[in-house]
Amino acid sequence: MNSSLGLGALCVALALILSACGNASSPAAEAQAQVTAPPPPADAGLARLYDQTCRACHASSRTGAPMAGDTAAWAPRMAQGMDVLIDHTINGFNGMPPLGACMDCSEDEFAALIRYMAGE
Amino acid sequence: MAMNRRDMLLSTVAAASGMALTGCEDHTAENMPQAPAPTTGPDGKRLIPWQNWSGYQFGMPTQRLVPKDEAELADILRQAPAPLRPVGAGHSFSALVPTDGTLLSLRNFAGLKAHDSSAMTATLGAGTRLGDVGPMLDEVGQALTNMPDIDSQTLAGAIATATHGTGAQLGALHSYVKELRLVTPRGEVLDCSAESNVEVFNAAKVSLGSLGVITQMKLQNLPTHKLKRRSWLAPIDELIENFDQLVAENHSFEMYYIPFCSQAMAIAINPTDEPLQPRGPEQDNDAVMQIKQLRDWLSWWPGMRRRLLDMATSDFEPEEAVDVWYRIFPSSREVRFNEMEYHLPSEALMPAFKQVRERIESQHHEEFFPIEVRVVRGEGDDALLSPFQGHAVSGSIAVHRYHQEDPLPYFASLEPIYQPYEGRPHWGKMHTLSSAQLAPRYPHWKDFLAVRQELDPEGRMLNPHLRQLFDIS
Repeated sequence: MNSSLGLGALCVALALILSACGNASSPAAEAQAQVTAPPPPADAGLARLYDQTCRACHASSRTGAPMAGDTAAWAPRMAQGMDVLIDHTINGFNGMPPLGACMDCSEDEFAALIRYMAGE
Repeated sequence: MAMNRRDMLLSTVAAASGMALTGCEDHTAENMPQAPAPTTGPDGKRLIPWQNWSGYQFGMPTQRLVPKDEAELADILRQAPAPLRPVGAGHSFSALVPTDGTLLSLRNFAGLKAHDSSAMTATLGAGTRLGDVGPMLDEVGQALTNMPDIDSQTLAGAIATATHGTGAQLGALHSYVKELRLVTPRGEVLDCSAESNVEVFNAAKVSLGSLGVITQMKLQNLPTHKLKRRSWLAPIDELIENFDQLVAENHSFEMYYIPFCSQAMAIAINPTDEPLQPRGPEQDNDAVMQIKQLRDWLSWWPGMRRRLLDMATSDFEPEEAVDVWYRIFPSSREVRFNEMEYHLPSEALMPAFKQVRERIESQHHEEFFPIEVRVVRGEGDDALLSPFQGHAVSGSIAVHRYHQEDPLPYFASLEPIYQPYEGRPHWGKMHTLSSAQLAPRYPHWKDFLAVRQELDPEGRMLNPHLRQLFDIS
């Protein structure tokens, strides 16, 4: 890296520009901790729903999605409130597609799936 | 696209002054359609609109149903409010799914139903996601012959839209379907194959979900095996020159052209007996966002943009991975986009691609998403609406637009390039062709429409997009 370019200062400038435009984050940028997969949801219907929808991304460290059972990753998200998380689920958020790959989930089912993945 | 010098590149960019304004350009995001906000139903819960993966397509169905079996599905198809639209993973970019009638989720039609180790066939629920198909088949010693580079889709959605991978000797997924079961809008359950209900079989393999709902299919597979994936960067002019040779030499080959970069990425996949060497962390998504950042700052200065991209890619080390087939074919695509893809006779591929490249570099300085160039075997493909039919080998060019930016001006600029070559659009991706333009490019267009009319005379499966496509009022 060529330090004569003043890279540190330039990075700061670019970060400021980007944050002003609200598009700075890379959805896969967050490091993934090693997480032990939680046991399936006790409710058989919810377990099946999770297996058919959320699991594809939330059980894979390659996707950038917070892993199911990674309570540390979920804590700041849960702190935003369930309404915010459900809105993100319905409309998509960063790399997560709208509806989180569940084409037929109700609001209550989304909330239950989120609580399960957050370890609550 | 891991680029070891990306961070340096991004930092270097800011050396140019006056970039803040270009960095805030939203690329006509204000023109983007917005799904309606959820409203509250009588039970106090949200009424949830359906949206596709990119968020560009949406609708507010009267009801969203999840039939548990074929009998319930047949009742729904006979009686539920039309348009009836089946949905898999919602990964199509064209308006195949939006309905204000009934949305049908296929998630209860999933899983491995049966397999035959001697014939190397397997019957799978049509709602099974490709990402789940891999472990299921591997466990019984089988492998898909071909696989797209995204594995979110369901089998039903993938074959309905002629989803494909890449390789001159590899057909699209539907070309490996030996049998399928179709529940028609009249509630009939038809088992279709090359021996039974042949006309319906050839129509249903690629049918855009317009003939009813496919609940299961038998696939002709291969014994499970390992694949080796090699990716490298090379001067784009060199890759263009050698494209046909690289296609011929590799089981699977594709090229990614990075706009305003002198180098392009090549990916070759071949069977191997070498020891496992799993793929590392997915880096493509970060790379795409960093290329986007460079666009944000330097779309007004293409020369500098090229210089920096060339610097950033100059020390890219080729990457290799060896793993079971289903962990080699797909990649994780977390940066959402809208997409247009056209299929062309293979001899037209490079001429058309050169035009696309020239147009992007002369008129679309806002573009940053890599352009994907692939091939598919067309020989022996007898699906009536297969875009590969009649091509010995079909070439394809896929262009993408970031999901928060208006795709239409860009796609409208490129789409005319494909028309003199009688290009056929991917059914699951955005295009503007009408029935009048499509019919001459499909020798069996009328045959398909006849089957559709027979199975669904009332047009219960047709939403506005399909009515426009098939010219049915």
